[in-house]
Amino acid sequence: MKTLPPFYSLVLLCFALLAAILISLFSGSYAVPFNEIFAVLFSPDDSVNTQIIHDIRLPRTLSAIICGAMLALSGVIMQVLLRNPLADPYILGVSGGSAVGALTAISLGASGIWLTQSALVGAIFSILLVFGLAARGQQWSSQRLLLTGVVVSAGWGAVINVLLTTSTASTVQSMLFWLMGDLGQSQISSWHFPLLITCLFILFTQARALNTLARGELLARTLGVRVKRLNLMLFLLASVMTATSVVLAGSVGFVGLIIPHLLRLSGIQDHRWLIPASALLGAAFLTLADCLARTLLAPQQLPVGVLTAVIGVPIFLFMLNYRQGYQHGPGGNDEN
Amino acid sequence: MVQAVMMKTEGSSTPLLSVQNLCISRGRTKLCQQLNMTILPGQSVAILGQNGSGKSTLLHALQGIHAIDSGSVKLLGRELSAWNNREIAQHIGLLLQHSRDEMPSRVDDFAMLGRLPHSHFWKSDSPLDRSAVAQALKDTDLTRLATRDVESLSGGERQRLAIALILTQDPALYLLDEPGNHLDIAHQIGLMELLQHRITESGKAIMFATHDMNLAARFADQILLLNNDASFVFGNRDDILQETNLSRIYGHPVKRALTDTEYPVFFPG
Repeated sequence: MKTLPPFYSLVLLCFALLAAILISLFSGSYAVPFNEIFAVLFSPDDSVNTQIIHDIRLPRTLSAIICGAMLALSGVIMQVLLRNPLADPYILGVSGGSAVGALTAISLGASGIWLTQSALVGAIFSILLVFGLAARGQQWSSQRLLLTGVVVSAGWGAVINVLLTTSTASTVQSMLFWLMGDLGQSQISSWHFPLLITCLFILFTQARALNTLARGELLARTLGVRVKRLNLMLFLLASVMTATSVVLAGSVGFVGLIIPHLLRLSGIQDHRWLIPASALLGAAFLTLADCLARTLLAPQQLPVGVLTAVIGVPIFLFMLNYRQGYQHGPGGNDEN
Repeated sequence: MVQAVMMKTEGSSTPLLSVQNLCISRGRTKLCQQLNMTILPGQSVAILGQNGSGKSTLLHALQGIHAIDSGSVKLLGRELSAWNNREIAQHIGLLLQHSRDEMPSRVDDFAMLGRLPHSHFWKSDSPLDRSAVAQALKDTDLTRLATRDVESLSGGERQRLAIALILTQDPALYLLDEPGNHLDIAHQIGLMELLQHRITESGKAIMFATHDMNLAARFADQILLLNNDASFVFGNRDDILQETNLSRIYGHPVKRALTDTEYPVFFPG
């Protein structure tokens, strides 16, 4: 029954993220001593250690933080926007459009900047398509948005299958890595963190409104929330963050679905806490998953999307059962 | 009770809400046409009418969440459309008929939602917010369930929680869509008395839609009867609540019981 006060949960999550960052910087095939990490982190020199930390592990860790936080936040938004606990960042087809862009680029032999650019174009196209179709009706309802998004996703799925089956075996490998999500190729830029902070801030200003929107649009409107404007803003924020993450690391699954639920199940339901907590836990979770992805079968790398599912599924199922046990179980009535 | 009614009719200050030539519709169905009414501080108005006669839609329109066809609705003398959503929510609260809960929420967190129109994003919940929630949960008999999940509540408990939310919102005008839904009689009467007390104490007003003629007779001093043909009758309780009027709007004979109460009592024939 007793749950941790949200403030302490948040402090705990900050430490979890710090720990995850340190583990991520520490782990890898080349051993960098623990005290050396701090030394080269704050005063880089020409050593091999500096190169490994600054050029390889740090960018990858930062990418994991960005992707994890953005996916978790998009998940929170989508679940409120669609008032559907099954919603995740990819439900409206952003990842599908992006994947078609990326896979087309791969099959044409492109890589690097061309790959990310075409993934971005695909994501934007998909966002505009879904929004354009869903907004055509007189009322822009979340049901309509959900159905449009799911159907557009299915369409992209078909195109992806065509691209996969018509490609040569050598390109299919990199296509599959992209589809499952992989941080190996991600190019972190200086604008990623400001974007994340901006999104976090905007969401935080709307946290109370999100609390009411989660209980239904009509209730939110009676409490003075400008629901239309809020819906549009949420859709755009989620789309921007999902697209950013997908372009960085492909469609890393599961983070956006389970992180918000894990936190809700552990008692953080107020969005004023849920938003920062999701960003922190999403970042920590993906950072750790990526550590495992690159060390588990080293020197071979696994797509991080596989690890998020492998770790996420058991944790999630455990939490779900544990929580239900106390909520509707025999001891759950009128206890206080 | 008689004194309270006298006081209420005397206090003819600026109307909280005034409605002129209001026409509303839902889809292609015309509901009220050319409705004129004013609600003064301290007044309590009941809306009676068949299913689909526009009771809920009217309440939604008066809170500004349902578009009106023509006419005007003025809140404190100023056109409703000239107020922003947040200001309207500070002055007018609307108890919805249905609540949906797809997402989990704790009972006390749910009641806190009513404080939204009075809050700022950069401030955390103030002691005032917290005491409003505590008081509302106490008034609705939910203190014991404060940390429970909304999903685990019974129908009546949910209705009380919805009323707790509007109590924390603390508007000047309470629009209540079937406030007695799912409530046992103790809570029905208790909560209506609580609201009645609030409005006479602090110059607020209530307008409630109901199917319970006796709840209307007991707690309203003005009655709005909505007919299915978009016409209406509005006036003082004792002029409107007559066997003939009620029988006509319900399309079913209604009889008045002989009682010694201060308010008339009706039953379906």
